Amino acid sequence: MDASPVGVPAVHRSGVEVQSGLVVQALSPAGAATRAALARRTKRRLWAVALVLAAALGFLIYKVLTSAIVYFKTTNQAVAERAQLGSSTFQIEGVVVPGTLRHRVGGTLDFSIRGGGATVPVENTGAPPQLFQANVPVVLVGHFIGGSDTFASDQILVKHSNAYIAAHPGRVRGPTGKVVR
Amino acid sequence: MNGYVEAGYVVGLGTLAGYAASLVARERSARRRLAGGGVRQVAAPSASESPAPGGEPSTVERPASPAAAPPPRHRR
Amino acid sequence: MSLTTTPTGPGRPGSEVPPAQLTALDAARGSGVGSVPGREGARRRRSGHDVAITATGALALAGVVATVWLGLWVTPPDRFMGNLVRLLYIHPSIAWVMYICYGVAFLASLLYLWPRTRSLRFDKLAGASSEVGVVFTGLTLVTGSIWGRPTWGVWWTWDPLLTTTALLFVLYLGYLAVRRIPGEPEVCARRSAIAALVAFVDVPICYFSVLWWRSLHQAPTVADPITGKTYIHGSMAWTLLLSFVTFTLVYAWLVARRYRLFVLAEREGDEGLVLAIEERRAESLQGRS
Repeated sequence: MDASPVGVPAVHRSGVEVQSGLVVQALSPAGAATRAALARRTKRRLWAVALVLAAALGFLIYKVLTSAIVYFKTTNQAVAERAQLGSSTFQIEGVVVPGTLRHRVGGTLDFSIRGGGATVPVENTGAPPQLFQANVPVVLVGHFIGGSDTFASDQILVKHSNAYIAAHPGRVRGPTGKVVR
Repeated sequence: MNGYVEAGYVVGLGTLAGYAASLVARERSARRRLAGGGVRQVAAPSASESPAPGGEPSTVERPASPAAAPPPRHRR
Repeated sequence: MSLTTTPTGPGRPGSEVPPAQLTALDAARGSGVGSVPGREGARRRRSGHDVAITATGALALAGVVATVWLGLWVTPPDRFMGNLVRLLYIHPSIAWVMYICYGVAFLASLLYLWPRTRSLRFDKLAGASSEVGVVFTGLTLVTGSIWGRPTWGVWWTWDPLLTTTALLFVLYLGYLAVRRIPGEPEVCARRSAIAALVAFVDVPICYFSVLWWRSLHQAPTVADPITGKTYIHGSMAWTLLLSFVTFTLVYAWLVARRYRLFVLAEREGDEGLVLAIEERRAESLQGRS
């Protein structure tokens, strides 16, 4: 990732060089051919770069418009739109309701999420992230199970707030002490 | 700790250090080109094939800059 | 003419060197760059700029050491995240510098386009700042990904903030590509400045995306744009603040050094010009005799 900026030596492509190159060309008819070949190569390379960048740009703008703008539906929103949603895949957001977590045989994890006054029961397959626990806000990827209001999720993403609180405020050590692990 | 933290620090600071080193190396080679491959070569055209004295390992490409390489090409 | 970072006085012929100015260049060559032999680093006269840059670098380095020490050993683990919170002293400050980079590039490009302040210095500053910005954007994405895997549970997701940050990366790579399109210096600079303004459109979108749209990513901890509150205290807060200052210093050093490379490249271009003209002159003289 860092290779590209490091490898971009704007240095020798600066207009200055090109300009002096033009002068050289003007002054020496012999060098004109090499210069022209060089210019052609630069041009080809720039077009290739432009093409790749344009493709990436197009893809990302598409992603912004499709995934990013409505990244998830809140629980109450999903419940309200239950009929239209059918069994299509989407992201749902809610807070894990304490006391609803239940591990079933076979690895399925049952729990409920709550948000905006609505509650949705969830059946999750796949391993939840290590920070998953009751009372945390989560975003689930999945779909409603046909005919029921249960959400079948195959991925849990744990949202965390922008607040940071020391785990053991009373036990923070000074510079010489060791950190509480 | 747990791998991720260390990885984050190493990648973050390591990349910055690498970028910084590349800037320093590029500057050094640019100065060398300016010092060695400069105008004095016109006075001594015979010794102009390699533009810079001493080759330092540089992470950066050394493109054919008009200050160094092309002039010998146009010589005749 | 000294070997400074920043553009020196009026003697600097800029990038456009009409043959009439060759005498000035010759003079410059005699006293400056061209005459410094071999291991120039040690012998080079150190100007005020050099000293300032070195001092910034030293401070930045000390800051990095302090940040790592505080971040990894002194600060407490978080109640929710445990030790993963330690990435807080790396990732947000890198993202912050990314915004500085593009902000500076934007302002410099505006100043270039504004006729009264038009100067190739601003073009070089915008170029330097953007290149550093691309490095920091890449690092924002990578460190964020490393943090996201254990906390969110995924390396990547098409969240608005992540997506617009990736977009920033591509946009400014495009800007760097535009900078390399050959042409007259003034034309290039103008084109690049316009490209920088276009690319900057995504910067506020990126910053405010966590507020405008639903996002997995949290809002900024320091000065939450919604409430203006800070949700962090004690040594964690101080270390976070230190990391912001530190990475800003790192930015200043990197941009100064990158800028100096632009200046050197410009000078090389000038030298190449002088060289070419002298050669042609010699050729024609030879031809006559």
